[in-house]
Amino acid sequence: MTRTVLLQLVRLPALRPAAKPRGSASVFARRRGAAAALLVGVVGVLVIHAVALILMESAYPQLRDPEYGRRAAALRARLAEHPGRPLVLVVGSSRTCMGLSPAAWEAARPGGADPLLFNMGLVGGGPVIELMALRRAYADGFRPDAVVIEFWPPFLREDGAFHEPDRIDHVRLFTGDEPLVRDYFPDPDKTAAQMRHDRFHPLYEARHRLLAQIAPRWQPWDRRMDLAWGGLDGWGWLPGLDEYPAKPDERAKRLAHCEPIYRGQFAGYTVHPLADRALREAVGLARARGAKVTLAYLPESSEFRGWMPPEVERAAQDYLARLRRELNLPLIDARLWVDDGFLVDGFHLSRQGAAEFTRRFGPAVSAALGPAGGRE
Amino acid sequence: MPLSLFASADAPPKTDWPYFQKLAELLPEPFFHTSNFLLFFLAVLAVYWTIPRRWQMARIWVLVVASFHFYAAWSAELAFLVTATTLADYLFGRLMDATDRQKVRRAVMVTSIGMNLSILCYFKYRGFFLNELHDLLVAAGRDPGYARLDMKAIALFVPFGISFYTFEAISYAVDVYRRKIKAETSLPRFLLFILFLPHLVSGPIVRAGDFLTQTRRPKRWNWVRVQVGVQLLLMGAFKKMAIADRMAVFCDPIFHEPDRYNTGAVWMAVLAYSIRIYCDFSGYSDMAVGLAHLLGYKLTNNFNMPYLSKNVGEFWRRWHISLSSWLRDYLFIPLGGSRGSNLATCRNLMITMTLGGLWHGAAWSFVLWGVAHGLLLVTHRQFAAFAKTRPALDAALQTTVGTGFRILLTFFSVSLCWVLFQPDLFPNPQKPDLILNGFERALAMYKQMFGLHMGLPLPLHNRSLWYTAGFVLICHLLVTRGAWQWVYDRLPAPVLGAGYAACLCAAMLLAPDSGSSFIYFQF
Repeated sequence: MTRTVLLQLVRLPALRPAAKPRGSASVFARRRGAAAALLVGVVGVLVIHAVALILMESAYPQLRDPEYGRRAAALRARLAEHPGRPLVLVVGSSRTCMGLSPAAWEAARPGGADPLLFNMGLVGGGPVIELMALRRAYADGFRPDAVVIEFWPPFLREDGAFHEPDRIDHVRLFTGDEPLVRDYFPDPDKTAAQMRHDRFHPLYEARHRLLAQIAPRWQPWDRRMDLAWGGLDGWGWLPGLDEYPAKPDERAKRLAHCEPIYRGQFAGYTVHPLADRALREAVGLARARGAKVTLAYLPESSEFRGWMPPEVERAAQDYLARLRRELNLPLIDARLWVDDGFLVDGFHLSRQGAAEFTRRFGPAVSAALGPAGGRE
Repeated sequence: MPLSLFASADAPPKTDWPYFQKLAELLPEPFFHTSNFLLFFLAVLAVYWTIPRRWQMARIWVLVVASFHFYAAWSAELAFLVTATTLADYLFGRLMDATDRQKVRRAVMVTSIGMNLSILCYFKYRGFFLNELHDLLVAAGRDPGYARLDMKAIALFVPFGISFYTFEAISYAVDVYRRKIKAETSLPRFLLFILFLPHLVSGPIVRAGDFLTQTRRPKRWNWVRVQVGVQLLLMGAFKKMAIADRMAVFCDPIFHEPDRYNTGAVWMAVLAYSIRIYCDFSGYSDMAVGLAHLLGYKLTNNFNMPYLSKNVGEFWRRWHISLSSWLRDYLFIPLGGSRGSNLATCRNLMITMTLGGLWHGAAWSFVLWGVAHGLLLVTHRQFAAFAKTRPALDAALQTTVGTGFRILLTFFSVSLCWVLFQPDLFPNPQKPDLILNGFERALAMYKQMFGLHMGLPLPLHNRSLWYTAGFVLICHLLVTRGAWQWVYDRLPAPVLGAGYAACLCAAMLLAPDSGSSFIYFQF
């Protein structure tokens, strides 16, 4: 067969540009063309939606939840680079996200089979979100030798406006999160229905998350989603402010902004049973998979500690002591590890603060896990 | 959180009838690009085209019933009111045709117009005029004898699309009186003329002569027509969701509180508002025309690349064509048009545009917007006459540079006028107590624009505004140069189909959070 014949076989006749305008075609040809165009349009919409759904659910989970998905992809890469080292997964809130920089530990570690720290924190993460991250990690095939769970009293409050599941956008939930929804969400049926709806309209419902990844600047300043994942490094660390020593005026402004929020959170404070249940389940899950578990209390500034009334401090410490006793949990208490100047708003570490903190955190984790690297 | 300058369908009047309450749940918003409406319309379409062609009247009844339900989903009481006035207009038309006595015919026409205008004034202008009278009496030291009316509460009970179907009914009465058309004898056809759901909410304002003739033609399923309808629907949805709503994110916060933003941001908000208002209304019109095509009807094209107009007169021949031609035929020409002296023509222009402004909304800002356009038209008229006597100037204006300059100047003038195009009610979700009237807001905007003020930047990165403005400009140029049509005519069907899919998916992806309300919804 000649090259021309081959080309003719390959080329779709319908895709050839029309030699004459459509208006000059016969009525029947125009009608056939119109029906074909509409059919292709309908099929095209269905195909685009199906492809988007498949990509979001399996091949590229970061499209649905970039915060978790990008960290999971980075963790795979780190594990491939460092085979044989015991994996320590740290779950927690934005304090963990910004505070733990495993790269700093990598630069400072003595060498050999030191723990491979990885930051699996999620912004806004209290016990329920920590549990979600942990469940997803296990479902994705990660087998950490040890799990460090951030302990932070403000996020143990779950009543009213502080209810943690309300902070979880249903669009970011995967099918695998359904058990978590069933166990922890106030109206699981409604959330499950919303999740089904999201899957039926994958482009429209996830449009903010998708656009935040394609063109983040097309989102209003006050609704920029990509701030939670835009600057992630290969170790799951979300760099905070690059400010050391802290600018006194700026820091004072941030403290003034946060103080009423947290004072409000401490008024009428109780540790909610939901938070307790989620924490215990996270510990149980990790232990059931053979991992050692440690709690970590990350640095707080003196100002932040001052916002916490004594009775709240007492309630939180009592709860922590009971939890540790009942579950036999070690604690890395790092509240006072860094100067106030490293905490840009009283409870989030600056970039320099994260490096400072992590260099101490690595050895502390090694010590807490013991020489075997952690597995129970 | 939806931030909309204009009233939305968030709080329609509640009805006590369970049937209509259920209907309201099924069809919560009377907007064409919502999934609920599209499902409703698909059901109507299926029933409509399943009925055999020879049962033309049954098809018309299906559309009448569907249109009534579409309206009643928002407010059953107001749907009955619209139907009742339509019935009255039908009877007035029959009465006019039943007699040859000119005086009687005139009296019937005046009654018909009076009834329609009274209803329009009662619902739309009552609060505005009574409050103005109240303020006037108080300022004069007199006791008005009544308290100021709550405009926000009144606005909830303005039947949507009232200005549009009132004008349709008036044009019908006048045309029957002038014997341009015969009165419609078929009640369902007449009901369909007014209630036809694609044009019920925000036009285009159809003429009885055009529409009623179409109701008599048997409708055949035609794939080419369906393709045109779907294309227009997609184009309208893209304009609304991907452009107009996105531009609202830029301009709404700034139009809410202009004094918080810097001068550059306020100017860019005006640009965004110009793009928004065009894409919002022309998008709606495209969807309306597209839906009508799917049912076998052709509605008037309402826009023709207005931002490439070379002068304000041309702008009004390209912008909201169905309204401007209505104002020309039923107001400007009866006032004397341009037949009299120059002064009389200018007066007629000013009256027409001022009333045209008031038609848009019961607020001084709309009146001033009309006055501003009237002044622009008068100025252009005088300048055109002046330029004709100066061949060199005229020739310079006809060159490419001169034409470009005229287009820019027209766009600039029209955009400056858009600042006045503000309703009085201003429900800011963040600050519900902050209610400034439209005129005050326009003044605040002008103050920021023409002074050098520091403040917040645009609420979005300005790059997306420039990209959108560039996209709209390129589309305008492609269409006016004929390139769009040339390419479209030659595109193979599968490529066109892929384009439809891409257009819909892009609209879905780019749609922001902000509300789905249409600017012209309340007019």
